[in-house]
Amino acid sequence: MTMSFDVVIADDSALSRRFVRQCLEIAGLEGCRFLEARNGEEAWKILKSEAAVKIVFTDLNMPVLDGEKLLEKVKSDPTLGAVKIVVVTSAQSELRRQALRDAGACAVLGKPLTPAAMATTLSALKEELGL
Amino acid sequence: MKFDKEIWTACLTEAVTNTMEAMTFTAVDPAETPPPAGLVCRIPVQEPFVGELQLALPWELAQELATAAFGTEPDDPVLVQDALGEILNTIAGQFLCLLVKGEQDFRLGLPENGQASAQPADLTLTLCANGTPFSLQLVLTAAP
Repeated sequence: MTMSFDVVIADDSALSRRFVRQCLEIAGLEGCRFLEARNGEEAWKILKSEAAVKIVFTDLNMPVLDGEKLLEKVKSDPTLGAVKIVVVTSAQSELRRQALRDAGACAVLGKPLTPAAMATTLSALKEELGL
Repeated sequence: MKFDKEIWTACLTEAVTNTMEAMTFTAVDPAETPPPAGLVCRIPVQEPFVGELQLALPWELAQELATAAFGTEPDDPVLVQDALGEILNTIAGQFLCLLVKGEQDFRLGLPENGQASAQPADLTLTLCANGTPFSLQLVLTAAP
């Protein structure tokens, strides 16, 4: 899957950002530009300045601006309506998963992340992402 | 939710075993001797009870686990601490997931490195990885 869009990976852990990127690459996403953010605020600034972002992978538990508030901001901004948000979190109770989906997340992935889970998510989004 | 030491110990053991295997490809075994002084990483639990999980391990083991997780030896001690924080965050998430069985929400704070809590632990797991002991302790601040 060679693509030319931007992917934002928001997590306060460098290790977690690396895992997400590796899983995306193993799942076959090639040619994308990966933009890393250490919190929701950095991710928000990227989203407002980079027009080619199609998808954001975000942790929930981050300093400055957490993943839930980032999701809320993105979903209430009409200029970002096409941006897909995938939450990657260790706090993965079914209640929380449903609440996140209700808030506009297109998928919720648990930690530790696996390439198989990532591949399933990308497959479900292939039409929206043009894969 | 009630604190049942046997059930909580089983859930925490499963969470550590799964996380270490998935993130660092490292098998975990029971150990008899507690780890020597080294790093302590802590993560607050905010719901469904108030307390914290603490991971204590010697620096050498922390470096080994970080190297396994990153796939390359970290050139900065901050990355070793980052890896420990993420490993503990994932252990805590898995532990609470197993404990509440999807019937209740839970919330964690941000992991931080520092000193162990002065409060005695309500639950202690002493384990070893790569032949080196490490411990996980659960401290309950407010009863569940």
